[in-house]
Amino acid sequence: MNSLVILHSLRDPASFTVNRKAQKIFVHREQYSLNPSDKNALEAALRLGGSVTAIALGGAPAEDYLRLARAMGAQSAVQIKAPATEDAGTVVSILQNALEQIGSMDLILLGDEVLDADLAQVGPRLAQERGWALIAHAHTLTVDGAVARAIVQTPNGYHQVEADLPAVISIAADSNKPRYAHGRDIMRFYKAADAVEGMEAEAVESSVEARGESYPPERELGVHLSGAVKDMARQVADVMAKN
Amino acid sequence: MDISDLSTLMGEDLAAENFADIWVAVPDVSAAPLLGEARRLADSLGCYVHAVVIDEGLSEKAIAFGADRVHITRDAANHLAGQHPEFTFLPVAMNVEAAQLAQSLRAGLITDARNVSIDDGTRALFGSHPVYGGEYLRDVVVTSAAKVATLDARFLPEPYADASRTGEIMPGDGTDGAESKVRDLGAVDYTPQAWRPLTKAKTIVAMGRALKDAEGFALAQQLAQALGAELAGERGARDLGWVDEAHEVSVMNAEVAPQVYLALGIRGDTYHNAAIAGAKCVIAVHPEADASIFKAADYGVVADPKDFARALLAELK
Repeated sequence: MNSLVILHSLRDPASFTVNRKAQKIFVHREQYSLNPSDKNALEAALRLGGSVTAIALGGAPAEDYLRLARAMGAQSAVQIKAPATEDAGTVVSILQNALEQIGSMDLILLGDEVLDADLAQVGPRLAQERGWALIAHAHTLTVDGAVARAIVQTPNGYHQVEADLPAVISIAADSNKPRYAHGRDIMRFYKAADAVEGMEAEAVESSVEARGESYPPERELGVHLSGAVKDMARQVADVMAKN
Repeated sequence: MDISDLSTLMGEDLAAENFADIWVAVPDVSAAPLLGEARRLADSLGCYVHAVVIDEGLSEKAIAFGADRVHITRDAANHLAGQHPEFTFLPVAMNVEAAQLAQSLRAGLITDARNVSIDDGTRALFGSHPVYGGEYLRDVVVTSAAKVATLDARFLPEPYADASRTGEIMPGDGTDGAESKVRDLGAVDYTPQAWRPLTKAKTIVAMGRALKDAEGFALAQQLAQALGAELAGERGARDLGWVDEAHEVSVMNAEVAPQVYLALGIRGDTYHNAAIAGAKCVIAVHPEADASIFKAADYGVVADPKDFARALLAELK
């Protein structure tokens, strides 16, 4: 079985501070991390066995995490050198082009949320484009012959679902415990020149562009609620709903 | 002249443009603010608002909230894909369907948008969506022919219902409801994240000495279950045997950074307050107004934590 895991690297939340009052983002250091649920997707793919290919768009941070994926057990890794984009449709076009070269896949796995951009759409869009089944928010995943089974989170609790392969499956964050790569493998794949295959992306037009940042209102520190306990509970319930 | 005549008059323009009007998926009444927003934008653009409803009973309400035409269908996303919507708004619960719709319309999509606006001249869609769990918002502009957005109704103004508004109700076409490629085998009993560390929890209900007894402990447990939260405690709760070492919030044990930290009956010593510095929103409940937890809290409630827990449980139901 061939599975593809799409990885996304992002600026580490610990490496910057958002100052809502100054309406600015202060970056302390250039530090990146792997999108959290993507790591769970990689783990899910590795647990299924078969041939696992990791793929990522972007520059140096993406390459680092592809090497890490190799160290964790992926059989191959492909880095698509493409500029960062806000448009998930563009990402899907680029991935579609790349998939033609990589070969046929039975499963495409990815994290079901993307922390730093509006790219959680990639999974559903890719499934739609390829005409594949989409299992979203999967917590467990097994493959039995040509059928994928998963427990997914729905608004009505957890449900068991199944779909025929090929399928796109988005894995929920923290649904499994990603393995640690052995230090020896990490060193090996960081040094190996052929650990990651590079691929140039064809130019694809983008219809979504970033225009900057805006900031939610500053935290209101030390608001003392008043009134009857019941009213205060209602206010707290409202606050919780907004967070 | 009713609106169908207008459509005929405008027909040629529509054919040239291919995409027209603002379409809103309204699976239930909680999506009403989306209709209000669509109405506001449609008035400045001079176009129609179409509501796509699943429940026929919502038709009249959809018109009152601003729809010119209501389409009744079992599969909103599939129905929308068959139309030519220039702008489509869906509630955030339909993020997955929205992405599939956007792909088939070759549209740009903004998910979880907290506000949207449309440029009258270029007809580009502007919106802001949260990143890093709402740390800040990224502003984007969509310039494709069709534009889709999922809107977070919590951040939109309350819509104005005008019972005297009139609109057209289109009968259900009955052909909708493409068979899903995914088979749902029913609900299962599943408890996730048994190993998930407290440091990763999104919501935490933390217990302190002022909860006093087993009844307070039980209330906190119920609250955590109702909120889908992790249960934790301060030193006092650990002394009472309510939490283990790994769930004691303190700089020595667990330093936490949840979205919401609800402190029930925690007085708030230095070690505890420093361990919750990363929390996005701290809500503190303690009977004593001078408790130091209130200095670290975003919202302070001076009340008996047991009474408050009961009231909040009732409120959540």
